[in-house]
Amino acid sequence: MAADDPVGVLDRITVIFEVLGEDDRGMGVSELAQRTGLPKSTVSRLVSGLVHRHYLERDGSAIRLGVRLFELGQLAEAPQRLRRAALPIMSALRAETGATVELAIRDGADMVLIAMVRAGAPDASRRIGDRTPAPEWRDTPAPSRVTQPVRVPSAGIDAAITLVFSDDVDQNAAPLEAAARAIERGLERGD
Amino acid sequence: MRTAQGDEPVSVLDRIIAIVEAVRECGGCASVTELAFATGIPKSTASRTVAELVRRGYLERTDAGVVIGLRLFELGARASTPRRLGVAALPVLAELFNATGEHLNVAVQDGRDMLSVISVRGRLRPAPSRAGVRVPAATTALGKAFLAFTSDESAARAITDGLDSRGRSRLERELEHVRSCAVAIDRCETFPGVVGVASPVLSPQLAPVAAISVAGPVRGMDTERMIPLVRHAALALTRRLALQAV
Repeated sequence: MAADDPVGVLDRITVIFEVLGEDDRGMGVSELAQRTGLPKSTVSRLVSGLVHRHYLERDGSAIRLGVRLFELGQLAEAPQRLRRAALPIMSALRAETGATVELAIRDGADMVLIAMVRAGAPDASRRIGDRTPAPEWRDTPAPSRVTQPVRVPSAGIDAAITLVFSDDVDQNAAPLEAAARAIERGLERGD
Repeated sequence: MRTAQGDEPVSVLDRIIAIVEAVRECGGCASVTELAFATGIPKSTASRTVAELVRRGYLERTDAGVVIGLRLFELGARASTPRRLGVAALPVLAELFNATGEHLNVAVQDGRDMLSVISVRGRLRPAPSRAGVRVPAATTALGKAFLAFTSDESAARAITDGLDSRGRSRLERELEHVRSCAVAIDRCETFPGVVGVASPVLSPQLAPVAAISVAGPVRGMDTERMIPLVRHAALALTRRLALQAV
């Protein structure tokens, strides 16, 4: 693979980002090379370039995802537009149902969690940026989750809003559908 | 191309990053022609690079132009420092907001700027009004709180490089004072009519990892009352980060 092949470089950066994104603690160059399946010299060179530009950060020997990615993520068009339209409605929905409200956007066969309004104690297992296969998002663990699609084809939005009930809350999902439609209307208006 | 330095060859990595950052600098939405112009990359190469970035979800095409894509949102949400700070700061910010009702920020140093990672809107809307916004480190309370405690020479140089010698010695005197009380103040130096009060958030090794600030209108916000509240919040956040580290 030639060093100036853009597809190759981008693929390698992508796999480095993906492996680091799975592990909050970060890892050293050797472990990163092993888990990405890339030669250590390649990983070392790309990591230096990415640390220099703050796409990655180095803490001792641990390498982690850096603040520049955070900054760019704050500009991501679709998720941020959806968040602006949905967050006030999600807060009202939590107040009405007592459930945690999650909003996820479809990416191929996966759903990516982009907003969450928590009820009660934070569930550390769910975090913004999490990626879940779409069927799993809808179905498991089935009894506590109720989902409605949020779709605005004209704005390129394909998303879903979910109520997550804890055991001690009555499962009142009646307001969910109206909330999903309200978010769609907001996006159609271009709020 | 701007990102190449001196005689260093322009690498593919530079080109990829230049394109992504040009989208940001164009306000988050740009045409391929604009991106080629902004980066100095030939249009055919820019077009190919954009296509590759779109294919992997880093960028997306819309009717208005090329925008930042879902993958960068996802990776950004997983970025280590903002995520750790976010978890640790929420209760601290809730308490500080209850006590002040003013605009709050937690920011990290990046080059000559402070980058807001968490922002809470107060009664005013002085910049920065949301996470992801940058403010100059040399004049803001956030920046001075960081600068007074950092031992990272290159970070300090990045911030003070743009100052003349008088500006630098004035800043150095001010930083002496910040070191003695752990609170920095920006009296309308950065934004007209806006006062900021900030205090550093330290790692267990006592390196500043962030700063926390309160900002409000020069007429109407009691700066003296803010000082102990901000100091207390910074200490609380420092403690919560240390607990998280184990």
